Amino acid sequence: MLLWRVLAAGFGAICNSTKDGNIMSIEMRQVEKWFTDGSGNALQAIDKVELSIADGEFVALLGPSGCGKSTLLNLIAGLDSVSAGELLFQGKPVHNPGADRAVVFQEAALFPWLTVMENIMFAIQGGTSREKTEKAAYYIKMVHLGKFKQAYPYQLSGGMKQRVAIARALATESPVLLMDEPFAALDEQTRMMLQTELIRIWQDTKKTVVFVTHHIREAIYLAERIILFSYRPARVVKEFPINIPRPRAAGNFEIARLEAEILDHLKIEMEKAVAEEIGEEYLLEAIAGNNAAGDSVGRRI
Amino acid sequence: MLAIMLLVIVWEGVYRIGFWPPFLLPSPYQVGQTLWYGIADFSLVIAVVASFQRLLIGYVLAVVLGTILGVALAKVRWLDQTIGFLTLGLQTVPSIVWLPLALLWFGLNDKAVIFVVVIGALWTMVISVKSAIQGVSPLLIRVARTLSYSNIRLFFKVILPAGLPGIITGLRLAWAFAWRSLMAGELLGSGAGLGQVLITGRNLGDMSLVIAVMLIVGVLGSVIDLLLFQQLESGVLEKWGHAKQG
Repeated sequence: MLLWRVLAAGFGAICNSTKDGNIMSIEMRQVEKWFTDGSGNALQAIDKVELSIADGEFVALLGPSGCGKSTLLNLIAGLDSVSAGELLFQGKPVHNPGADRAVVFQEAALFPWLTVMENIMFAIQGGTSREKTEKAAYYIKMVHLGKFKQAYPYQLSGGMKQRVAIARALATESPVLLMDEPFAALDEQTRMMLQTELIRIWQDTKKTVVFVTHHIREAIYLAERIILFSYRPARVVKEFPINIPRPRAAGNFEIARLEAEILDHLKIEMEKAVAEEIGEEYLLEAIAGNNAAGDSVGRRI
Repeated sequence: MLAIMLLVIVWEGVYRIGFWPPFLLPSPYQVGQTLWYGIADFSLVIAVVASFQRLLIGYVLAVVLGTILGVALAKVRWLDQTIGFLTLGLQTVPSIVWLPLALLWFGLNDKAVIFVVVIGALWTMVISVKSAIQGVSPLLIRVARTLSYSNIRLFFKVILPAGLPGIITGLRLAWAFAWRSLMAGELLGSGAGLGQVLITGRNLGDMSLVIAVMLIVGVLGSVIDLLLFQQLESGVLEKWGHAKQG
């Protein structure tokens, strides 16, 4: 068994490794995604994204709202297909969704007619019902919901529902966890608590995590590497490796510095996003604002 | 309960004023007596059983066909585009207008009445099932797809249970429509049954029999709705989280 693993790992390393020798979990080469809008115009959501995510890595995809980073996650999940370029998962092109790439969405999306236990068992393939129950119980414990095993989703708070969704994704025992702004709808306290839990789970399970967010501090707090995307179409603007030791405390100077640096880059993209949403009116205001007293961005966003 | 007592008091009052002669408006007591005799000599019981047989056969057929057709319309686009709008049109046609045709097709017997019941309940069921299935949250379907669920498992494990509240509403509406169609069909049709007892009452000028049958129809319909469908509906809605979330 061990020998097989070593061989498999060696083989995998030869097939899909970078110069650093890391085994690649997800690889994107010149990935593009186009949509057609209601009136038949082609809209580009993703533009020539080159990205490699190593096995066991925690990567945050950061960008302004509506920039296409969730679309990118859907491509990895296989819920949508690439228009051009290549998207590989464990060396194979992605065509379909599958339980080897579990997804946590912004909404918990639990099945309302199933208990917490049953919702998690829903994700477990194969095995006897006793094995399933034991496995589900294990993951319920991991997200600290032991007392709510038999509860129905409507009896849970937003944060608890999201924890069930995380446990459901973990129960697939997939090597990859894809998270699409999973904490965006939660209040600040719950969000912080779940961030801490997520880090612990990631450290325990050694999964590859791809975490989509528009929240800079969240990305810095969680990820090993941040990929910053431009506003539509999404292009990689810059990558930020994060080497701050864990646990990352809020008052850390490096966090503050990095946040400011990322914000500088993000501002430009946010300007574009706002300009597109509000239109010319905004541009005129921005020009007037700039002429008068400087930074309009700070006030507008 | 209070409302029923009030109704009986008003009824008795109108009877005593003598607005209509007693043979046109019998007193609550006379109707009660007729009801009792009808139950004692089994004539009304036999009529209820005969009616229920037709109703159940027609209802079950309508539910089964309606579910199949509703699922097909929700899932197959070209089917929806061709006969989908037809179901809406057919639903607005009172089922009793099918009776002359049914009498010619099936003859003056039970089958014609059952046919009218099926037609009466079918379209509501089709439309309810179709919209219940189309209304299933796409997010739940995406979740199941990311968990490697095949289309068949997806349908039975996600789409059907997620659509259940809507389907149960369909069952309840279909029941009400079936009950109405049955009465219309039996009035014009033949054989034993509550509708024919009603006609007999009219022919004999026995208004207490007519009112007794009306009472039976109303009470049976609402008791079944209350005890069966409303229980089912509230149970499902609560478990599905609708009741508590508001």
